[in-house]
Amino acid sequence: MARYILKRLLWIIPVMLGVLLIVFTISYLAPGDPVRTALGSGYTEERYLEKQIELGLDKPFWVQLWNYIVGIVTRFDFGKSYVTNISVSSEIMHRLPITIGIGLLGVILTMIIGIPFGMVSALKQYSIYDYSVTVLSLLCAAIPNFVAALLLILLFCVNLNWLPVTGLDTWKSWILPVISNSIAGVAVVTRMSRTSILEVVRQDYIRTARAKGIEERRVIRKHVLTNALIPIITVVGGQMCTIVAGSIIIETIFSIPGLGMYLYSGISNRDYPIINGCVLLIAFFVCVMNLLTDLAYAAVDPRIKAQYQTKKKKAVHLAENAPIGED
Amino acid sequence: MNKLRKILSILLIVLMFASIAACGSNDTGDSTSTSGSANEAGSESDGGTDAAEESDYVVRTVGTTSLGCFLVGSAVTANGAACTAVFDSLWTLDGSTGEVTSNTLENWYYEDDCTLVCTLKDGIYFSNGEKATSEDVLFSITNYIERGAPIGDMYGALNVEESYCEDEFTCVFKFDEPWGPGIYNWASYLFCKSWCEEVGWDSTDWYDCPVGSGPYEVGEFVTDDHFTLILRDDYWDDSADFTVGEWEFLYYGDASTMAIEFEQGKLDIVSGLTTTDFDRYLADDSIDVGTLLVQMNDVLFLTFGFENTDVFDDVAVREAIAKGVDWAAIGDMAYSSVQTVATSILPSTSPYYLDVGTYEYDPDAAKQVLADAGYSDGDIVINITAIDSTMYKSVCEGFQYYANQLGITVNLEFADTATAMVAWLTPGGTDMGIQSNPTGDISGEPHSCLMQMAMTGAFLATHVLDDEYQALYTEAMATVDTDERIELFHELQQYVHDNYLIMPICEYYTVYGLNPSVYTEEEMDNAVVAGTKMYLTALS
Repeated sequence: MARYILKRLLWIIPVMLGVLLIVFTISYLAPGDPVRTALGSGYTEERYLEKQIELGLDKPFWVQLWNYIVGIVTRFDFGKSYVTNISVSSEIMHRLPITIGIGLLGVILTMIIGIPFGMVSALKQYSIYDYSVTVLSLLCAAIPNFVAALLLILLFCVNLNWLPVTGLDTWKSWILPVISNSIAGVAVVTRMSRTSILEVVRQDYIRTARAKGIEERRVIRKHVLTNALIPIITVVGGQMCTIVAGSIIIETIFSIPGLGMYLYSGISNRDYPIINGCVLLIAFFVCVMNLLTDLAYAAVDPRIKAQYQTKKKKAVHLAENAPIGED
Repeated sequence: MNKLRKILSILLIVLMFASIAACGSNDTGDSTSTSGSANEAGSESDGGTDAAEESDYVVRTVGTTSLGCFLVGSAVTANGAACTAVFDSLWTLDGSTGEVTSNTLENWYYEDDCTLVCTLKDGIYFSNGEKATSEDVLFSITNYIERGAPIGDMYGALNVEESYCEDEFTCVFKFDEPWGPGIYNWASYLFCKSWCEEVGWDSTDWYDCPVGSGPYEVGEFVTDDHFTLILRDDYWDDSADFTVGEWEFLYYGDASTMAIEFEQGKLDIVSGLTTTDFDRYLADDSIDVGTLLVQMNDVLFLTFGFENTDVFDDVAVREAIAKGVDWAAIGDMAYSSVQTVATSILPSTSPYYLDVGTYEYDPDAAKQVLADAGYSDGDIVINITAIDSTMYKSVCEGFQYYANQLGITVNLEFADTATAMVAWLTPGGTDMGIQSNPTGDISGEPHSCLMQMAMTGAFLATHVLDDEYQALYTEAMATVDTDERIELFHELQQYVHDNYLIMPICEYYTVYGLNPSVYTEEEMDNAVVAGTKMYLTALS
């Protein structure tokens, strides 16, 4: 398992290099001139050339790419914003905890609501509970998150005056952004949980477990849930991957200085250092989250865990666990 | 399953209690509690919680959709009001008399048409303790040219090498040729030369610790979140009496969110409310807010891209467009209730303004003009590239509608700012331009409003390829006598109107929101000088 983890971590390097090459090339070829954006209007030709040299944009593509890679590897330096001249690394480090905080809480909320509701819906199929959960989850899926955010603001901030609209200085200010961010995820996780549990609950081994007289609660927890978790983990893992990308719209509406808004401003201004830095960070996060998702599979499903084991360990494991019966 | 039911029930009960607690807290927030980041919020926490402290230390909040930095002349310069709080201005406009004045200069005068002499007051100190001298005054102007800032164009014929300091407080500005606009018609701030040279123009110190001689200094700066201005104890001007100890500028990514917090009383001043919100406030008396419309000294107009297409070389085409488009309706689409019909290419607030009237909307006459000139439907094709924003779309689509009625085909392409700018700067990138540049902040100087139409302007679709126009403009630029300049600009405006060279649409306003429990509209109106948002120190 350790070897597997190490291998996956090492694979991140070529993936990151590939991502960097692609995003660097696209930003290099995209229309829009960062020098003009940085200078505004009314500049002289001389000033344009000076600025171009200052930003290193007069150099050939490969030289720019090489310098950039060296900067990241040796100094963790993503460069400075062309517009604000503030270090991209420092801005990312300042904004990352905020975005991760909101995203993580959103995913946790998604799981807390989505899995139990999906379970109830599956176990009480065709009941009023099932129909209610289905309708609610479809509503959540249909409503765009920015609409939900504005509706929540209208209800809780304007009409009821219970919660603040902007900022993150109190725990109350986290509530609406987290809820808005998690609404779509709740719908997905609920539906996936329902589908997955329905599939498992009809299996023969569940019928066998019930027939043996095992308590229903234990059947659900030990047999149904554990076997239904794999697809749910896949969905939750996907949700985790989007944490760092943040929600530009949610951050804009709630005036949260997060990574999403930072990336959006970089794209609007053709601020390549910001774009490259944020995309690399997102790519890294996605790789790590995918790894954690795979490890979660292994934790839940011993069959998958067995695949990661070395041959020697497999032999020992098989010898120790030769099947003698169930229970 | 029973266990799950129990857990859910407990969660619901907890939620209910939390809701009740939130409901009962009455934490509507004071005007200082909305600054937000995961980091510490700074020094505003005592606002509204201790009456005795509040009376000693007044904190006021300003909502804004743009923070920027304090490097004047950069692409991201901060709110003008904030800049005037941190930096003293060399020149300002006395709102009551309309005269250019200064609280930093003893006097200034033209020795001859190419020599301007300025004398600084003694006893002005920067926030780093350094005393201001004529070197700083000279540097405050010449730096824009030396670092290639766009604002440097405002100083046109200024000769940096020939300009010099005569003594500790007197400096002499030399011009290569008579420069009509002068240098005192724009918001020029007093910079500390030694500090600027020490940190350079790329330093992040311009965000969180700029050195100025103004009454306030930056207390805290959090990007895309907020910054605070703290009253200096050692401000050099003893006669000034400021009651506001701290100004807090809060950034909002979305103007509607800002409007919500403004309506809840959490903001004292709001800069840049949308027309939608303004219209809503006008329609709904139950919303207790104050608003103020401030003239932007700005005219929105459509320009013909003479350099990019020869379609507009024919005066008949321009005349048809002038008469066949309802420009008042276009202005209404662009700015709704916060605009008035433009009656010239200069705003009515400028002393150089001449009311030349508007083009009467007469589509039949316009069609006749085209027919007489030999044009049929579809003969004229215009391609416009504009920024993908509400205002640009409204103007362009409105123009497209009216042009189509005349048989003129208009193709529109919208892009983000960076892409659109490439089109504007590239030959053939767009056949028409949409321009709005304010006149000089101080005295309504036309140069900054009309400079794009000169052949040296960066945007090709705005150049007016007309010899008479360029001759009049050049002559006005070279005339230092104000009365003569006014006459020349009057002639220019009339010429533009008679020859359909530029299509003025509207003059527009910025909407300020005021917390009525803090400021009256009259107070705000008196504090706002020539629409430059230089209200902060006046309201302090």
